[in-house]
Amino acid sequence: MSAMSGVRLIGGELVAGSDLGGVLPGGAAVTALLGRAVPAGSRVLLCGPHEERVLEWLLDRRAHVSYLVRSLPDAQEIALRRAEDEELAVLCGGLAKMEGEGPFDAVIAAGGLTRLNTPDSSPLTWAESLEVLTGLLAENGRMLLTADNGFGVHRLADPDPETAENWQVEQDPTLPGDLEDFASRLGVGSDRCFAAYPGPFAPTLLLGTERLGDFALAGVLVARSLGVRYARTPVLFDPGEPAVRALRQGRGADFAPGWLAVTGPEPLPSGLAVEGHGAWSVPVELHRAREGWERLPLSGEAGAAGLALRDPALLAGPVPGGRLLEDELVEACARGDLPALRASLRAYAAWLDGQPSPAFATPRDVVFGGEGFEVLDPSWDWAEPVPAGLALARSMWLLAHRLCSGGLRHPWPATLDLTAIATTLLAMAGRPEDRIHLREAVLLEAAITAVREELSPAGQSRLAADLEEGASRTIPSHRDALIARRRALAELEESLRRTDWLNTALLEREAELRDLRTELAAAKKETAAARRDLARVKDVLAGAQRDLKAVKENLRTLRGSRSFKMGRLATAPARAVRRVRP
Amino acid sequence: MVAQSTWGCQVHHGNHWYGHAHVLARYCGLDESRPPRMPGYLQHGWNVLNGFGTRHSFEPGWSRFLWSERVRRRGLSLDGHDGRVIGAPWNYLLELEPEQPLSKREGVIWYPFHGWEQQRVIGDHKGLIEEIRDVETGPVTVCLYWLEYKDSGMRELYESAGFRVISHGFRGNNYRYTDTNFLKRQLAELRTHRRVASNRLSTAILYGISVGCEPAVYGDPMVLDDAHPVFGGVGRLRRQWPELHGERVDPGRAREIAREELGTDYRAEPAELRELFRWPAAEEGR
Repeated sequence: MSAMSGVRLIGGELVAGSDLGGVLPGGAAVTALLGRAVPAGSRVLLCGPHEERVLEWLLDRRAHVSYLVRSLPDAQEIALRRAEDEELAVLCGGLAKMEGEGPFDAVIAAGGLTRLNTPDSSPLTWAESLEVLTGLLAENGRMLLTADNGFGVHRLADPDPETAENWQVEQDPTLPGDLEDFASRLGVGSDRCFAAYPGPFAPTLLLGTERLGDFALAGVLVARSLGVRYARTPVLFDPGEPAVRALRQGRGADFAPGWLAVTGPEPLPSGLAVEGHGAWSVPVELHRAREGWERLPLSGEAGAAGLALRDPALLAGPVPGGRLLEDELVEACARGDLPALRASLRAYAAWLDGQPSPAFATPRDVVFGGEGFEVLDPSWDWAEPVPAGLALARSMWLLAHRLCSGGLRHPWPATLDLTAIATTLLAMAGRPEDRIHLREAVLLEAAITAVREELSPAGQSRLAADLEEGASRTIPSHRDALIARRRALAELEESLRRTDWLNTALLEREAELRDLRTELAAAKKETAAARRDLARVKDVLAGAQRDLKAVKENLRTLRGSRSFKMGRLATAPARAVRRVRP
Repeated sequence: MVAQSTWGCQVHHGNHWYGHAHVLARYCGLDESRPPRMPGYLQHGWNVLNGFGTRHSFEPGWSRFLWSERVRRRGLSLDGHDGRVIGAPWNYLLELEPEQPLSKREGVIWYPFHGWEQQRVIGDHKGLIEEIRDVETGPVTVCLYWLEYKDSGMRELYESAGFRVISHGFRGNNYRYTDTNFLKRQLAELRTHRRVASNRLSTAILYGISVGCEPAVYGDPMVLDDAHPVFGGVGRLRRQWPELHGERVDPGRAREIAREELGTDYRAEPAELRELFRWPAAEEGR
């Protein structure tokens, strides 16, 4: 015992390095399950670093906690922080040195067994580690243990899987093969196990194995959980898609990032989901109801921040089943199924009109199933009224944004930008006039997201700018990048071919223009010559007219003379005879 | 009405044939006598290929505006070129010109398979007249392509059989002489007939079905001079749509097929078309 630090060194400790960085094992969902594994006042072994709230929960329940960590700096930090807690003993060293400790009423290892090894003792395999832990349990002792699924979508989609410590067992042959194997190694049935998403150790979603078969609900929850986790993380491909497909094919547990088991007799919920981010997060238990499933929120404190109001109690009740509307719409776009898209958008717009809080009913928040459209999380409200037209404009902008920023396949030409696609979607929904709300809709989305994701004012304005430009907050996966690259290359090639075409057309037109100019010059020359001829003719004609005028004048003078009149008189009879006998 | 020439600011004059661009402009609330430029190639007739002829050359980079999903798929498989399905302009005309109640329908309007300016049709019109007489019981209107209508011998041949002979007009060429009443005239004629028939499954048959005519395809299908083999000939039409061939066909199934082939369900809203074509907003007071 190092009295100075309050840490008991058991041997094999890591003298440098820390496991306290990053997201620690635990989270609201795991904490919510602790009650089933830890009776009040029991002796608990907390194996490996865990999130602070796990320790707090245990100490609140007056548990006598032995907290085993392998890193000395970590152990000292924890002991310092928790110096006042008499029920806490911080142990530092390798799991191999734990033999003879205990017994414990409960062993909690939500971070798996890998981080319990240290280089000083020969590394224990998974099976050996489990054996040590089992040996530490009192009679009827319980265990909460998580296993990382090496074949989980989180591993498959990881672009850089080199994370194992170089002194650890590389390919541990004793790792559990699947969820059934994991359960039987713990000596329980698979009904004591959950599939964990989006990662094995700090899950926001735990689905009981019976739950996995209910695709209508599980699919939505799994896609949402992975979507939030991987929104800003580089991946090889979007892990949500294969995870959901695995569920549909009855292989959900095989591809789940992790498995969590709770031994003991306490009844378990069918699932646990954490609704909301950060301070807004509320763990919700899922239970089988007579028809479908029911939600039971575990903390019911209503709260408000900015214009957002939240009452977690409203989560209680039947869970909406169906498919996420956004997925349906994106799929219809990819298929080019415009009639289906139009029908869905119209139905959605009509439904949105009647919604009391349309600000929290975007296609991302809504499922479409047997009961029609339903809001997945009805606990939110917005203090200012949001007109249905504005809400629809926001929804269509978000859909257009997802299509454009994700480089997803859609039935419109590449020349249509974000605004044009959002306007088109509004027209398809039968509400073309709502396009006047599009700008306001972007600001509303930024405001709502800022409150829900606890963004800073700077973060909020950056988000608004990203939304407006069509930039993506999501980092595309390698697969997305390949698709986008192929698309960009095709567009580039088309542009180059178009340039060639225009160039050829231009050359043809230039040749044509040259010919026309030559013709024009010749025609001008001819016209000038013709003009000159015409002028000459006019001169001649004018002279002739002058001559004619003079002759006419002479004639008139002659007719007016006396001798002409006498002559006419003398010849009159002869003219009369001529008229009679022509 | 003959539309003004707007050559020089258009993508392809085929977009103006039959006044298609004009119908779409009117649907979008724009001046139908001067349709704005359409940024792509509009399919101008029903077609068993990619929506265009084999002789059509495409300027790269422009969209293709197609009638049906099937045509889009064919285009993708033939030359990898995707299209935008908006449905036939005919659908938009029907929206603009709803049917008047109590219109009396009788007889058949018969469209002998026609060639065009660069391909003649080889066939026996006398034999065809006999077949029409054998099948049809009511009055017969024969609608000839303008080239054949100009041929007084051809006209007299059908007139002497006691048939009424008409032509819907000239589809236009290079933005000149575009008869923008072509489709309206065709629509008015179809709506006064009980049946529509031809010796080839063609655009007119589908138009007729869409406005409630009973369709029939029978008689010598005739042969198009120098037809490209990719079209697959008459046999392909019969294999693909056997339900539409014969003197009497099932009208329900015919309506389904016409709906698919004319892309009726793909008719876009005016605001959608304006975005797609990058056309201006509707004009005031229109």
